Formats: sequence, C-alpha cells, structure tokens
Amino acid sequence: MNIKKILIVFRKELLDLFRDRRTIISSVVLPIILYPVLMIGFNALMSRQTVKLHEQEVVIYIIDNANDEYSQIAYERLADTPKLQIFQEIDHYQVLFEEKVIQAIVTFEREDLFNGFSYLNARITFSRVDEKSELAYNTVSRELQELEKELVGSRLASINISEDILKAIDVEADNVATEQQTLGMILARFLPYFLILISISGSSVAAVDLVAGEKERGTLETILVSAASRMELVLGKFLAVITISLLTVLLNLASIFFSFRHLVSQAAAETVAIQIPFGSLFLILILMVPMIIFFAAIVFSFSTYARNMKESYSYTQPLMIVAMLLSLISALPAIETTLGMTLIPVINVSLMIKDIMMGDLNLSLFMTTLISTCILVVLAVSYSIKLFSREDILFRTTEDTEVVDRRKRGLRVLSPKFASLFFILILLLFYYLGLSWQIADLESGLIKTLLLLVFLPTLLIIKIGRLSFSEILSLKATKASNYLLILIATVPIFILVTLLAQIINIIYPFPEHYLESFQNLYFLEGRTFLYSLFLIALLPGIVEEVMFRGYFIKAFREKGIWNSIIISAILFAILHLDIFRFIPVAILGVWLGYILLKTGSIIIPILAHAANNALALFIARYGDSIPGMGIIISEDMITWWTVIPAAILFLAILAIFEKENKGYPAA
Amino acid sequence: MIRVEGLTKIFKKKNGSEFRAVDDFSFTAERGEIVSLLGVNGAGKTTMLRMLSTVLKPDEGDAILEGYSIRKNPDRVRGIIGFLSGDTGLYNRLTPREIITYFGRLYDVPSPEIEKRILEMSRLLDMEDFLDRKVDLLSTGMKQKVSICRSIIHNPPIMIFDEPTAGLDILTARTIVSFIHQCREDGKCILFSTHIMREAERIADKIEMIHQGRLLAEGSLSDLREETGYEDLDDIFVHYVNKHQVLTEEVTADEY
Repeated sequence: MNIKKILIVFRKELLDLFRDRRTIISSVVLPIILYPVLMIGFNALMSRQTVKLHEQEVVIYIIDNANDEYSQIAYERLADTPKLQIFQEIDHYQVLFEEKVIQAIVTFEREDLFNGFSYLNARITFSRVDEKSELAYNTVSRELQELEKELVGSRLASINISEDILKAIDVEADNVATEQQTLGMILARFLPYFLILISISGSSVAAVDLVAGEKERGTLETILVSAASRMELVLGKFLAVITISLLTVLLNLASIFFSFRHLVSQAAAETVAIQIPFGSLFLILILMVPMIIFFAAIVFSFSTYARNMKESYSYTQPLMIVAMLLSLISALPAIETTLGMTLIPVINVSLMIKDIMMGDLNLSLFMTTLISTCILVVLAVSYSIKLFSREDILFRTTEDTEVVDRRKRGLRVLSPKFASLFFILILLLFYYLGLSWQIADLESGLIKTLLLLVFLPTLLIIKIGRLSFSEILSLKATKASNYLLILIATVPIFILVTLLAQIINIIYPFPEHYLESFQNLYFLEGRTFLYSLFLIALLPGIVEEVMFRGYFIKAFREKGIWNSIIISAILFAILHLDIFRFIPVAILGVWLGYILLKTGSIIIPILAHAANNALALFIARYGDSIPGMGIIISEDMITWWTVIPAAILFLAILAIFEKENKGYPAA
Repeated sequence: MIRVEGLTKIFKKKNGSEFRAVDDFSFTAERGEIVSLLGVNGAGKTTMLRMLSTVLKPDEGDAILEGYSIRKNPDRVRGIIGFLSGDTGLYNRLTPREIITYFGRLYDVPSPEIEKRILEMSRLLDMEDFLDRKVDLLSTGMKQKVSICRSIIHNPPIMIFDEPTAGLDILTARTIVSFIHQCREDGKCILFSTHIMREAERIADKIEMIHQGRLLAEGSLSDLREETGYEDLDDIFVHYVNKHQVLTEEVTADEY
C-alpha cells in the first residue's frame, strides 16, 4: 500500500466531486444560506407578529349582573384602559363573540360575604386558541387584579390595618440557568437530530457518486485495471467521502451557531453578549468525527453493493429513517444518559451532544460513547473495504446475466423472498390486530393470535405452495433418547437464557408495567395450572414451532444450514414484539432450529419450546413454595452462580446430542 | 509476452450451481504480435481479459505477463498493461489533461514525463483543441482519443483491448485500428477481443477462437483456412462451433 497513491486518488476524487453541482449545493451553498435565511425569516415574522398583536385594540362585552359599587368601579377601570373597547347592552353579543368581533365576555356577579361585605366575581369568557382573545383576557385580568389590590388596601385602611398584613409568603424566582444553558437547551433539542441527518446526507452524496456512480458511468473497470491497488482506491475514495461529509457538517454547524446567535440576540436585546461555547463545539466535533466515518462506511458499502446510483440512494433512505428515529429519542424528556444508553449507536452520540449543550457533561459517559462509536467505526470500515474487494459485488452490473429458474409449480413459497414478504405481512397483522386483541382481553387475545395469525397462515402457505404437510412439518420419528436429552436440556437452557435476560435488565432496566404483564399472564384469574399450562406452554409450542421451525427455516434453507437457523431465530424473536427479550428469545430460537435440523422431527423443538415455557410458568407460580429453591432463586432473580453448573450441564448434553445425531437429516 | 496456462473462472449462480465462464484456457502472445480473442457474446472473452488485467481472480491456472504472474504479482501486472475498451470510461467532469495526468501519476510516471507524453500524443492524435475542455462536452471520437492516450500514458509493453470498436462509428473505429497497428510497430504485445469476424480477419496475426469458455481453435488465418478448407472466417468459425457441439454432446451422452 502506498500513501502517495491514496492521496492521488483522494485529490482526484475531491476535484471530481467539487466539479459536481450537487456536491457544491448540498455541502456548501445550502448550509451557508439555509440557516441564516430560515432564522432571519423566522425572527422577522415572529417580531412582526408580536408587535402587531400588542398594537391591536381588543373589544370586550360586559354583562353587569352585580350592578353595585364594585362593578361600577371595575367598569370605569376597564373603560380607562387603553386599547380596550367596551360593548354593552347588545342582544346579539354571543353571535359577535363567535364571529370574533368581540374577543371576550366579562360577566360581573355580586357575591356576599359576612358582615355585609361583598365581592365582585368577574368571569372572563375567552378562547385560548385565538391570540387576540387571549390578549383580551390578559388585559382584563391584569387590570382587575390591580384594582382588587387597591380595593383591599382601602378596605383594610378603613379598619386601620396596614396593607402589609396580607403578606405572609413572597415567592421569588431566582433562575440560576446560565445563558449558555438557556441557549444550549434550545439548541440541544434539535442539534443532535440535525447533525446526524446532515452527516448521512453529506456522505451519501459523495459515496453514491464515487462507487455506484463509477459503475453507472463505466469508469470503474478503467480504474481497477490501473496501477493503484484495491486498497489504495478504496482508502482514497473513502477519505474523499469523509472529507465531504466533515465539511458539510462543519459548515452546517457553524452556520447554525451564527444564525442562532443572531436570532437570540435579536429576540432578547438585554442578553448583552452571548458567547458561543467553543469548548462545546470542539467536544461535539470530537464525537461527530467517528459518527461521520461510521455513516460514511455504511453509505459507502451501500454504494459498493448497488448496481447504480438510484439503487444506492434508495438504500440510504431506510438508514436515514432509522437514524432519525434514534436521534429523536434523545430529545425525549424522560431519557437520561446512562451507561446502557452510551452503548446504543446514534442514541449515545445524540444524548452526549444534548448533554454537552446543556452544560452537564459526564466525562466517563463521554468516553464510553466515544469508544463504543469507535469500535463500530472499525467494524463498519473494515466491512466496507472487504466489500469493495469482492468481485461478485463490484461487477454486479454486468455479471448478473443468469436466467432465473422459475418453475411455475404454484407459488414458490419456499424461497427467502416469499418468506420475507410473508413474515412482514404476519408482523403487520400482529402489530395491528394481535396487540389490540390482547389488550382487549389477554387470554382470548392470546388464543386468537396464536390460532388466527400464526397457525392458520402457516397452513395456508403450505396449501398455496402445494407442499406436503409431512415434509414441511418434518413429522418424522426420532430416537427415544433424543426426547429425554431435550427435556433435560430445558433446565440449563432456561437458566442460561434467564441469566442473559437479567444482565440485559441491569443495563436496560425493564419498565414496571412490562413485568406486570408477565405476572398477569402467569396468574390468570380463575384458571387452573393445567389450563395455564395448555395456554402458555403447549399451544404456543405447537403453533409457533410449526411456523418457524416448520416453514421459515425451510424457506431460508438455500442460504445455508446455519444461516437458515439464525434467520428463522431472528424472525422468531422479532415476532415476539418485545425489545427487552429479543436476544434471549433469539438464542432460544437458534437452539430450537438446531435441534430440528439435527433430529429431523418437529416434535423435538415443540417439546423443547413447551417445556421451556412450562418451566417459566411453574417457577413463577410455585417457585417460592418449593423448599430449597431459595438457593437458586432469590428476589425473583436466578442467582448468578448457577451459570457454571448450567453451562457444564448444557455442554455435556450438547456433546451427547452431537454424538447421537450426526449430520443434518432434515437439512 | 503473455503466457496463459489453463486459466479457469467459475461463477456461482443464484441456485447454487456453477458456471465455468472460462474453462482451462491456454495460449501465448508474443511481442510485436496482434492476437485476437474471437467469440460470440457471452463466450467468456471479457472474463478472460478481466482475469488478465487482474480485476477478477482466476479459480484455476495462471497467466504470466512479461514474467509477472497474475496470481502472485497482480500489482506489477497492472503496471505493465494498458487496457482499452469500447466503453470509454472517462470522468465526465474532468478535462482530458486532468484524466491523463491522474492515470500517469497512478502509474508512477514522473510529472515532466507525463506532460511530455500528453504533448506528443495530442499532436499525434490531433487533440490539442480539446485538451482542457470537460469530457462531458466531447464527441465520442474525441473521447476515444482521450481513452487511447490514457491507456498508453505509462508506455506499457502489453496492450489489452476489450471490444475496442464496439458501438463506434466507422471513422473512430479506424483511429482505433490504426492505433493497434501503431502498437505493433512499437513492438508491443497486443491482445484484443472481438465478435466481429472481419475485424479479426483484417488485423490479427493469430486468432484464438473461444466458445463457452473453451478454446475452439487457434492459429493464423491461413493456418485455419488450410485446416478447415473454408475461405471465409465466418464459415471457419461455424465449422469449429459445430465440431465442438458434436464433441460435447458425445461427452454428455457418455456421462449418462
């Protein structure tokens, strides 16, 4: 590898990119113009609105039901108030109020007190959605409150008591938020979101052009046969993408800060000199650099994989949406920066930027964010370099001439493509129907979901694809010893998976209502243990295994044995619609898939699945009442030492199982 | 010179079966010789040339170019070949001078040398007028001249042409053909692929016929005429294709 050649490639790519109008517009012109125009325009609009509103005269209608001394004084007071016009004694005042000719209706009532005293009740009818009406309310209530103070003062004076007697507590607001924090808070809300989006769009413009663009224009081959090596090419190009992206982010950041300062200093004239927190800017940049490289690597991979530029852009869209949603999470008020959060990509950087802007930065969390992002960067960059050296990927434009084998034997349901579409459909049904059924009634909802959304569709697929039931469901008998081994294996697997869930719970604590929903499931009112066993263990065992280990694993079979096991396990975990148990369920799914392909009988994973659920139910209901269980379970947690015996037992069973079942008869 | 020994490239199809795009192919090309790789579309010509230019890695066999193996020394091999295809492969937003300089630098040609060669070549190919105009604005003929200049900036001993005249008008095609002749006069070793029989007939010193990835026949035009008894290269080619098909059918019949 030759640094000089990398730089030659880099310089040429930059020159090429800057000759492109799209790059110039999106990375340079847009950021420089957009924010000032946006902010100045917004500012001008705001100030004009406010001025206009304050200059406006409002009309109120007074209904004087009190008709006493106080109402007379109040009326006079309001009549003397500038920009307030009073209507009285008209029949159709309600109509005028609805038509917004009158902004508020003030009704005076006399309320009697002890000793012949009375007070005036003034009800102000207005609408808060109408700015003018609200202005009328504010004006009237301000005037009347001031008047009340004066009246109370004179009443007290009449019995020779000082007005000061009314003072007991004086509340005073002392806001310690610095200007940096105030400025930061407003910026903190949208800055992470903006920066993430900008870094993706910035790198995609360059990346799409540099690889997919070269494929499309037919220049890729010319450059591949030149004296530069693949490594030099990919690094030179990659460097150019990062440079463009960094430039875009920097210009945007600078433009946002300057326009924002301008906006704030105009809106609040008394804030004399707002300092741009350059220290914060620097920290944000340190975080953004790895983030930019990470996105650049992803977008670069998309561009390498895509056949042309259009395809490459369409791959970028989902990335954009996911990153947008993740960075929006940081704007939620309830989300705090915790250790767990610093491990989630995009969210961690967004939260950190928010913290930096708010002026409460935790250095150790900052470092974990930085390190975890850097690890991602290494993975993503090495992947994108690897992808660039794959010839089947680089020549996807031309080498894809093979004829697709389309046997029109019903629909080809046993293909990854069909299975993916089918899964998405099931997932949507689960989300829109299944969840609402279960919210309406847990028990019947569960049965309906399992039978109508899992079992029935799977049977339909088998019917549509004209597949044989026995083949799909692998209804083969297997060795008797396998049943026993699988049953024994349930215990260590349950322990290991539960321990894993506990670790996840420590990093990302489960919400309270989440745990309650499980309790509801395990303790169904008025149901016997046997009934619960059927509902929670047997039914899901049969129905879910038929779908995932019956259909899905076979549909993905052409991707390889382990790929089909892992893909079906991941789909299995996704359909549980439960982010907290995703990894444990996926691992269970891998085990179930593995034992299916090993034994070739669907009965085996059904048994394992049902036994696992039954064990969970049993421990939840009777765990406390069994003597000696305290050693294994304390305070609803499986104790940590159990990991060692469980792992040993599991490995032992695995060894025997491997020995007893050689090869993959079902594969 | 080029020495190809049992070169094979296997592509995997989506359904998992294998497809041998180039199958146990051997031939040689000497300096000062024009060798034509002749075959119909999809015969494996491009795959063969891509392996020789090290863009694709062979699955079996090897090729030695001027002493460098495409397997062991791909970087060196790329330094000694010039590659030109019908599809010009130029950067639209750059000028010819920038593109040629870029490639020259990648080939480690010293800057004064690059400038000198650009001057020489542009006088020779009559491209002085548009050296500093963006490629986007050039005609196909102009672009092809730029491509020629780009492919030869490092003065390589071996030139590889992949269907160099495909899609070109007659005048531009002529420029290419005379460029190929020029290369032979300069003592370069030239390999060019084509599916146009007349082209091979006119310029090749030696013809390598390729069909379904395999070598059908090889030799000079007169050798081939003598062997088959046909005058026209079209007839000669069809003759060998038919012979090949009879052979493969027999092989398949034997297998079952």
